[in-house]
Amino acid sequence: MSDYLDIHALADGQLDGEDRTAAEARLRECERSQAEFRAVQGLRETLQSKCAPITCEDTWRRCQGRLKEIERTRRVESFVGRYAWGLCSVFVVTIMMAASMNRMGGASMSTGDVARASSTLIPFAAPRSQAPDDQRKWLEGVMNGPMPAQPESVQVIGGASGMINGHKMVRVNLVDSIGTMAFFLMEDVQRITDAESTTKRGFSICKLNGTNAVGWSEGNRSFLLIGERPIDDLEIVATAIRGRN
Amino acid sequence: MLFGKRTSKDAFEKQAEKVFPSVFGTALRLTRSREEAEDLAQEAIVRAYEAFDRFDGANFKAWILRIVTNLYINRYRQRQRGPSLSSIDEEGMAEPVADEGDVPDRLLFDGLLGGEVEEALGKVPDDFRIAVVLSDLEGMSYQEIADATGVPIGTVRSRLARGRALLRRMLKEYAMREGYVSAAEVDE
Repeated sequence: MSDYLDIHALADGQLDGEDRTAAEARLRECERSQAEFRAVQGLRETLQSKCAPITCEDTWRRCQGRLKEIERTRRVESFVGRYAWGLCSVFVVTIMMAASMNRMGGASMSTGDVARASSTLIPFAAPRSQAPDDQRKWLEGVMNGPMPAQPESVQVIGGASGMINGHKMVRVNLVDSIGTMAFFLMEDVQRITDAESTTKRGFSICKLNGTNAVGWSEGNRSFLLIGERPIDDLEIVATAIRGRN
Repeated sequence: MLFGKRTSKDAFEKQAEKVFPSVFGTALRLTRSREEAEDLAQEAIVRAYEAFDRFDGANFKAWILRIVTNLYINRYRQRQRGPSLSSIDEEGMAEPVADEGDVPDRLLFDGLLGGEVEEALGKVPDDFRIAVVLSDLEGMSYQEIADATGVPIGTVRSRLARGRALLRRMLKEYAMREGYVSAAEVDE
């Protein structure tokens, strides 16, 4: 058995040294070994000549596509892996900066927010006394801070308060000789986003559910006065409330 | 570092493209199914790429064919339905490939077509076929075949001899059946 295997190994060029010498000697002397040697060589030549290379360009292109995908994934993983802490830090810093800027720059609110919030506020009773000083004190208590001036011609007839989007909101119902108005105060809100350009007196003009409104901001508080009357009339009352021309 | 990876990918692709016909040809001759051969070849290329930094730089073709063979043995062979060694005594005596006074192979096999040789090769039992394909078609050494198949060199030699004997017998029968060579010529 090993004789034939040695002849195969010799034909395959897989023998060295003494084994090779011995196999070559046997090959010279033995006809069967010669036949075996020729048969191995002949079979190999037949295989190599008859089994043509197989077309596989498409498969190679698909392989290249997969290699590209792997390379892309590796790059992303490598980048993320290497800079993970940096990326996390950037995100955290960005969030903190955004929060800080939001706090510094103040939040905003739209008239739609105000309209929606108005219906969810919890009502409270009007002050018992109609004296302007009493009403001012009452308003300051309700609004939890200094109150702009209250014109003597305007009476407080009730109100409501609550929180909307994390901001305290107070609605005070007012009445004067023309009719009723609603006066909104929003804490930590520095602008009404959908208000139109400001008037000569510095009020923002907007509409709330189709009703005229004028707004303004002082510090980190925003005010909105709404009433079924022309903007000019609202401005007169708003100017009196704001306490300056 | 990123440029280093890019260079590595380019180097791999350059070498892999050269040997890919061998990779695919071997995959096809082992699986005997074009669809499975495509899967096997692609998987082998991906595996080789992922392990390229561990390649010793000696013989890329032998290294990647080793991956193909390993993958085939571990995954694909279980699905194959071809004749297996369970029906053939692997440890039995290796028979000689040639008969005394046999006609030369040039005369015997010249008329055969490539498809006929491929078909006969496909009928050789799996382990014998692996040895014949890796040795006679891909030119791998016994040691490389032993590494690829995970068997001792002695087993490789035995399988190769058995595989060749079986293949030659099939080709001879085929050549006679198809009239490429007459029985009289064979018996001369």
